[in-house]
Amino acid sequence: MIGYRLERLTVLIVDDNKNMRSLLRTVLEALGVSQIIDARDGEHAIEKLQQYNIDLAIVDWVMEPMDGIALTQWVRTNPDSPDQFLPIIMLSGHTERERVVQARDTGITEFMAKPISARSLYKRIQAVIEHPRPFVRTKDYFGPDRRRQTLPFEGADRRKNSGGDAGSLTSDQEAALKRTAAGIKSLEKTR
Amino acid sequence: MADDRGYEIINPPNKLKQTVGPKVDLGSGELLARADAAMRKAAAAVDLADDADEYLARLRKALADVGARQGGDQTAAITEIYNITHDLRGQGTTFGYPLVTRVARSLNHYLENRKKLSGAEADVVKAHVDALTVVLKNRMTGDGGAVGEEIASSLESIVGL
Repeated sequence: MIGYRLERLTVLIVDDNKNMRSLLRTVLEALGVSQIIDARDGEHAIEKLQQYNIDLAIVDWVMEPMDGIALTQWVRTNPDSPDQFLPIIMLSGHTERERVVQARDTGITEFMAKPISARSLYKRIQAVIEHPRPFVRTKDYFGPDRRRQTLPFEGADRRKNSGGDAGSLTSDQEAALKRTAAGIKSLEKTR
Repeated sequence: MADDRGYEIINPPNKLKQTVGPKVDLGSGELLARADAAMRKAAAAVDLADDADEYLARLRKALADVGARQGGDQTAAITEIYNITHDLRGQGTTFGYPLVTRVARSLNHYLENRKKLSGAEADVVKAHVDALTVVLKNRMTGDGGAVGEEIASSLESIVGL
């Protein structure tokens, strides 16, 4: 197998969940990355970006107080950003197409849906190394050229929610709710 | 500076490639196999159920807030439920609880773009929280068998997945 050795990379992991941070660290170390910096949310990541020379960031989406989208926007557009071209892989539990598009439109470089594997992460890092995208600046956007991105998303387009205006459930939904409750009850009895 | 087209293409130098150097022979694929094995081992060492009490307590509190704010501003409580559920969704399958990911995904889908919940809609949220509770408290790893499937697929049918 021909590929890149990752020993010289410094990778920033940004995730508010300690289990995920630890898991990502384990995988990256096993892939050969020796310099790994942790951050627990976007604000913490900004501190780290200003302290260390980061080559690549792997960033979760949903974090408080600053999420992955806001962090990406900061990296791409804030005058204090040390590297507006920083490759950013967004790793997220979101798989809905509109979410992937939203992340892409913010300026992430690549998107990976959870759960990850070591192989898929390595392939994604390889893709970021081998196929850097040109950047585009318009009056509304600065980030990787979105036209060249083919980001994976799983499943078909889903129906959107009605927004809750009706307020009540259909009879099918009521029946399904009863089945759920029965299932849960049967499990509680066996405890 | 953007040109007359209204956009500018910038080709930054490929610093990442300069840093890693050229491609080399990494052997017969052991690197990836070892990395996958290391990941599985690390994931198996985590039991999501150990952190369950905190997640479930926060969910129940937020659900109670939703109920207390019927007709008022429920957005903070709904956001809290969404964020906790998103966290569980991302972790479930990775740490051996695909049923947690399934139920959490269903709840995330239900709450997407919702700013308020009627009493009946809050019952749907509660059913998801009850399902997460029973899965985590019973440490139902794997697909949860026939009952696990019934619970997950019923919830998914309610939310339209």
